[in-house]
Amino acid sequence: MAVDGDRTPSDSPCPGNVLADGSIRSFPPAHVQVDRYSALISGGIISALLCTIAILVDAFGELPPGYSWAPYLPLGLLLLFFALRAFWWPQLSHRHKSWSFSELGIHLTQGVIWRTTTSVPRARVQHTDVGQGPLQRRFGIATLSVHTAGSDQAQVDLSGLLYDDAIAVRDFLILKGPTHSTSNLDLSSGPADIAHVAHPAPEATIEQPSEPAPDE
Amino acid sequence: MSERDLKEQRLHPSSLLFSLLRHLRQFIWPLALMFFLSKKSESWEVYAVYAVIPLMIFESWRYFNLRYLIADGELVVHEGVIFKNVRHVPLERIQSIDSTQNFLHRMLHVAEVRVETAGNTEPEAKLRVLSISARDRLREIVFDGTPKPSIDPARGQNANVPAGDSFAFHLPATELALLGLNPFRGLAILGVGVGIGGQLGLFEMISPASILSALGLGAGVLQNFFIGVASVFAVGVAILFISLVSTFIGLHDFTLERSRGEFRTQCGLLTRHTTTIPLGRVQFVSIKSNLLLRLLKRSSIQIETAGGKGEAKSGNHTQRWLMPVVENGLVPGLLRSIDPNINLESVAWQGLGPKAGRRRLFRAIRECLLIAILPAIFYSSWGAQVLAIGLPILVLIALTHAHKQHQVTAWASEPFGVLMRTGVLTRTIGVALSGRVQSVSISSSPFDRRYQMASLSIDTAGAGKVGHKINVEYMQRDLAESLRDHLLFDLEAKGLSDGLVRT
Repeated sequence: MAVDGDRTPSDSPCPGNVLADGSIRSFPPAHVQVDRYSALISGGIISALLCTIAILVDAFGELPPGYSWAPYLPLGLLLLFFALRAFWWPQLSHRHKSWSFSELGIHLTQGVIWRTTTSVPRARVQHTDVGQGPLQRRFGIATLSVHTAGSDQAQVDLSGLLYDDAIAVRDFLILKGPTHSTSNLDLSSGPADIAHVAHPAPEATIEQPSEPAPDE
Repeated sequence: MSERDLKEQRLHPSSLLFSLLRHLRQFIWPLALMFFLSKKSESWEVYAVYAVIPLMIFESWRYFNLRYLIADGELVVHEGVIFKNVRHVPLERIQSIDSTQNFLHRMLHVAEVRVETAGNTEPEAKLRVLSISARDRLREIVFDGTPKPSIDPARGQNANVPAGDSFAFHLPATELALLGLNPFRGLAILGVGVGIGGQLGLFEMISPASILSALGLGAGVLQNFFIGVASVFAVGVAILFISLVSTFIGLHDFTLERSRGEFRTQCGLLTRHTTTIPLGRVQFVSIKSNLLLRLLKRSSIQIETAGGKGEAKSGNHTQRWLMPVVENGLVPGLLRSIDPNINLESVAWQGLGPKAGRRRLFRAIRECLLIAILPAIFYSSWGAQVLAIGLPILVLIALTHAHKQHQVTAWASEPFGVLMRTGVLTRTIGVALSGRVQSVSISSSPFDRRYQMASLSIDTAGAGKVGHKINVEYMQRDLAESLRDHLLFDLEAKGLSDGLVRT
């Protein structure tokens, strides 16, 4: 981005700073795998259901003679659609999906035919979620949801980030934003202060057992 | 106890009456239906009604249990009978306090009060009902801490409104009539009415043939033609009448006051709505004028805050009018009262270039052809005639509209915000105030990419269902990108407040 040239990331132990260079990053290839598997699973379930229906219609339905293929035609088309969705589409959409992260905010580009780049200014991030489905856990990727106070784009999902990247970006957003006037936090003292607040005060800690628990 | 504290308050005693009435109203249709449908008294539905009574008692109890207080800069609302709920709302996060009074409320000098913050689709607290004095006290305490109109220190010295800049506007009925003479408004209401009528099965007994026979008229081309013309005329008059009446009822006695850094509006003949919006909470401003208003050199101004996203924006009351009708000469002053930097006269509007104009024309032709395909296919003999006469007219209208639209559509980026101008018949200028941008999207279709264009849309916390947003189509892609970068940079570098929290 042209405008962030004169701004350098401030020093912070957070690895998010390393990512916040504004360069355009593609999503990890594991994202394609996850997309493919989830498409296969959902497509498989629906196909199995429809197969059953088609066989039942063929067996018990009263089709005109010579039309016994009729239930299988839509089924075949659907199967073709699911196959394309699972084997062709994930790669295509992956090719057109990218994200970048700079001092100014997060940008997400996606869409094969209609391409959209959504930019969320860092100062407008209300809160973030990092979520992982079972498939995503298996492949070590995650979905980072960035919430704003907006109306149409109140939630922007970056699904398919590497889990570590998602955590790093999240930490960067939480530790440093929201910035300026919207924040009550003293940014000049750095993230260490916030970390201190995050830990319980000494008097609130759970009482330590003074002697080891008796063995049974 | 500081000045901004409020001891624990209960709702007005008449709340019990109103919650009972509300539940009765909920059950009135099922009850009526049962009354008409069940001839035998032992039908189980009637017993079901008895089950409703404990529910009503419980609900009433729940509403009566609601208590609120203000302490340590927070509005605290206790509610619930079995599951107790205590809600803390920081005062500086309250976007607006609205109140509604129907006829009965007004007789008893009470009002339903809604406290809204930015976060929820539902109001943060519904206080049904408070006495008028309790409502005013609540308002006073919540908004008294507003830093006197200096809205945003980050925006520099210009942000100061001259002290004592208070005013009051009252909308005369003649002006209201201008707003009411809007066929679209009447059509929308008629549509709702027809929908309800259809649900109730009112139209099953009415058919064109039955109307004709009732009028003693049989077939006959000429007669049918006159009847057609007359009924279209009658429907048109009826629509305008409905629109006028609804406008008068909804916006009767509209007043706008500005004092101590807040706007307060009141309107309504039967049910009176009062809105209080602190300055600096305004997210989006729309200035609209339809054909009639434009001829008479008038506009209407609507504002959007972050609260109440879930509310239906169709009725008069939920739209936040700043002024439903105002002479164009007064518009700049009103806008300056929202933000002193707003100056529509000096806006450098940017058109979309000749390429965008051509694309609009092509789109108009495409759409005409799409419409023409249907008669061509389905009424082959008639189709030729319809096409021969209709299509050229249609294309002419569409091309004129597209051309006009291209001339009108423009955007601008000014220090006080991003603006967009649209609308051939109803001219709309939308202003997303500076710092209110929540996210920016740039989208491109395959056609856009071929012409190196894109559409830019800006999301704010006050982007409502209709019209209240910036969405520029056919923008040059590099221009869209640089505008986006400029907006993002402004937010980060200048730290502009989004007006959701008082700073």
